[in-house]
Amino acid sequence: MSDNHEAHAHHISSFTFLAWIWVGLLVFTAMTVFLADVQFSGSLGILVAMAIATLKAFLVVYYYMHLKFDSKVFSIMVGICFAVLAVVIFVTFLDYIFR
Amino acid sequence: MAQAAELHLTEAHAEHDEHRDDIGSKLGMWFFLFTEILLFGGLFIVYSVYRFKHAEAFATASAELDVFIGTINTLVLITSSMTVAMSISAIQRKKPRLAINLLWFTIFCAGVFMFNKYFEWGHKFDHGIYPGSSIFPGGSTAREAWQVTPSEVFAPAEGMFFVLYYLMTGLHGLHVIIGSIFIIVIIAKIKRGTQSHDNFAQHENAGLYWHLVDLIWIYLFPLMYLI
Repeated sequence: MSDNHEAHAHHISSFTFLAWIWVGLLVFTAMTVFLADVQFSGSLGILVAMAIATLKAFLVVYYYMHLKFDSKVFSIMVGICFAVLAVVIFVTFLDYIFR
Repeated sequence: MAQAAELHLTEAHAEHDEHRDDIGSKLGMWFFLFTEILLFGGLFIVYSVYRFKHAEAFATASAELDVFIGTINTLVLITSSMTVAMSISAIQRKKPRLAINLLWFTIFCAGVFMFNKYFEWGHKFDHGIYPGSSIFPGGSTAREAWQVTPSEVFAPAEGMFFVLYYLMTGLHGLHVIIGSIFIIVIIAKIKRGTQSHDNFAQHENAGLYWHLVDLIWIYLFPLMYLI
């Protein structure tokens, strides 16, 4: 779990650490299923579900896909990719909402 | 991948002077994953726009899906994601046997996932929920023969939900299959010793691909089953 290795030595994630991330993913999954049962009204429900999904996605990308331990270049690139997608979604909805 | 294999063939005799670029290899894999993210991203946009314009029909159609199976499949994929990550830790710690077993477990999870998907799709086909069926909008013209009343026929937007459902979960399922093949290749390479504790870039790339499969499902699950 210690993250203070020298810059390019390969970080080895411990099994315990990976299992804890798994527990986190399980908790978020349980949460999103439970909250969907509660039935938020319309757009709030979507917002909550997508927020939880994004938290889960962050856990997977940052820890399982090793972004936390890789060179920052990877984080920047992944960030740009998701930002492009977010912008495209945003602009598309600007069109549909204010049409 | 092909290039890497070629490189390995030409340089197999020169083990002490092997030219490798693990960072470059990972960078290339990520670039490929970006195209995957944008591919599914495009489909997510189509889904969101239709959902925005036909919220009620999408909610009705979505209610046909079995949240229980969806949740099981989510747990299965999350677990398989963990075991792939663990297998990379195992190979780094010079435990190839353990790494291989963890990868086989991942393949097992992929099998369970596809098995559930098979029954899920089959169940819907049995109920006539597929494009072109007698209850599908614009589907079979011989509705009288099927004794389908107009109220049983899906609204166009409900049909659209299932078109997107089959397209997106189908494309995702294809990725599950490809990811499994990728992992089987890695198992073979570990056995041959071409992936090992000091050379596991391809193993890591297979892991990245598998995590992407999980990542896409993380968004597909709430969009299709929950909201």
